[in-house]
Amino acid sequence: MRISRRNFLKLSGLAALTGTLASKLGCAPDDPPPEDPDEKPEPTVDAEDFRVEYADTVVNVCSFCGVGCGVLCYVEDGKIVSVDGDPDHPVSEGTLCSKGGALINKYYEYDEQGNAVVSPQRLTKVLYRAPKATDWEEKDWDWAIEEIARRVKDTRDEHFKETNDAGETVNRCEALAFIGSAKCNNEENYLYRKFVAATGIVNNDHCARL
Amino acid sequence: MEHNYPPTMEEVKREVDLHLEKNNDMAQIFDVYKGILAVQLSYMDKIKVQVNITEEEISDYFRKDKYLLSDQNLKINVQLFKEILSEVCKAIKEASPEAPDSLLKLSEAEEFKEENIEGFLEKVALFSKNQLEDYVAKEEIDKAVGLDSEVISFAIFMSLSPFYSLYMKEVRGITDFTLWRQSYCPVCGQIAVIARHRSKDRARVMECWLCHAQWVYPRLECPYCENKDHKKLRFFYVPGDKARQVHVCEECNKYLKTIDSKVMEKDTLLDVEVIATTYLDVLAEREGYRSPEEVDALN
Repeated sequence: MRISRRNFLKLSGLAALTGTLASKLGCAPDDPPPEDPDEKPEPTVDAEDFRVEYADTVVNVCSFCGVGCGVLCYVEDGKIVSVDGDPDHPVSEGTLCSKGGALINKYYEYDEQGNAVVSPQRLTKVLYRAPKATDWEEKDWDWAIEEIARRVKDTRDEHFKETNDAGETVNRCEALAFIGSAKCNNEENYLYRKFVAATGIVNNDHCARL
Repeated sequence: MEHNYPPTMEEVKREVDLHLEKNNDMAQIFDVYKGILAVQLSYMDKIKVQVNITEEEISDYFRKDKYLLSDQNLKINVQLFKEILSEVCKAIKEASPEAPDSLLKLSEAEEFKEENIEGFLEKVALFSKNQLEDYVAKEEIDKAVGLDSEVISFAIFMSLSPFYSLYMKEVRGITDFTLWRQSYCPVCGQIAVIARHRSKDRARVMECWLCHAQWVYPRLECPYCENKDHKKLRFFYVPGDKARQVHVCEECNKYLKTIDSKVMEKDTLLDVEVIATTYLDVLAEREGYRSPEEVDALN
């Protein structure tokens, strides 16, 4: 590999030694010698001709258990190529258990030839199955969020009790249950708990009971 | 944080030999580097630095995003500095005989005479590379000694480096830099141009090229513009060598060369890597990104 003199950059620290400074100090790599017809020239490649591959890093949360460890997914051409623990995640600080470390295997399955293909079971869209229906329908997120909100509101209004059988004020709804998530951070869980209390929902639990 | 600066010459030689197996073009450049390092190492025991600051005071600096030497005084033994400068220049000339002869007389320049040297060092001690080069040109030191301003500034930085490194080591004995979250060095303020992903926890560890302080910076945040949008933070590599990456920010167009220690399966020496991966600087420029050095530290 060769850095052509025309590519010399002005760099700092020790890197300067490989840039414009190299020619000023007389230690720049020599230009290739003229081709000798009797000798096979050594192949050289200019650095600027190298092909490069781009990759993205996407932050995620491990989906296996209630700890909710931070995960960095490396993505090339729209596909996950490897995963790492997220060192900046306050819970896991870069660590993953053996299941989390193998998270990439949830994304792929293997065809008959042994090639990794993105699992067709992976959900990428909202699916809805109406009561008593047998088939799933594709829906968009706006529809789903509005539908969930409407049904929560209706159920809460229909079953809200201001007093119990003894006539004491209770202001509660026993027909709904909320389960929190270890994937949420402290502030999100605070808001979640506030919402549950404000709507009078008393059945409130959490999955992070490890 | 585990930190092994300075390395031994054997470690450096081992790493350099591995690079030369792949690319012998860099042999003379590495000879120059090894010559300079040998001089720096030989003076490490002779230099004495004092850090007169408590852990509490250091934390206060870091909370205000102020690097320590922005107003802490590092007393540089001018006699030793002059000796190191002379030896560094000799080492360069020895490894690269084509270097200008005037290099050997740099330490005799007006600025390095007994009556001037202290004032000169005080003035330039916190300059970035560009600032020092501009100063050298403005004061016409380059014309007086017959050397290019880049050569002069490089020789000065390489001679200052042992003082800063030892100061950093003393500071590291008091604090571990965990409060620091900037692209520039917590000790001397120089902008980091290389980082590693630590194999233990994958954290991004930045390293200062002058004092060799190491500090952690969040992985998905641009150190130069603090952009946190991961859709605008990408990296590229040359196929076949995924351990040597260039992390780029589409927001400010700056790049940071990064060595992935897990992929490389060892913690390599960043000083050697920064030289060996020059082709990544060339590629970054080709891809339209700019060197982080274009932003000066807060000097």
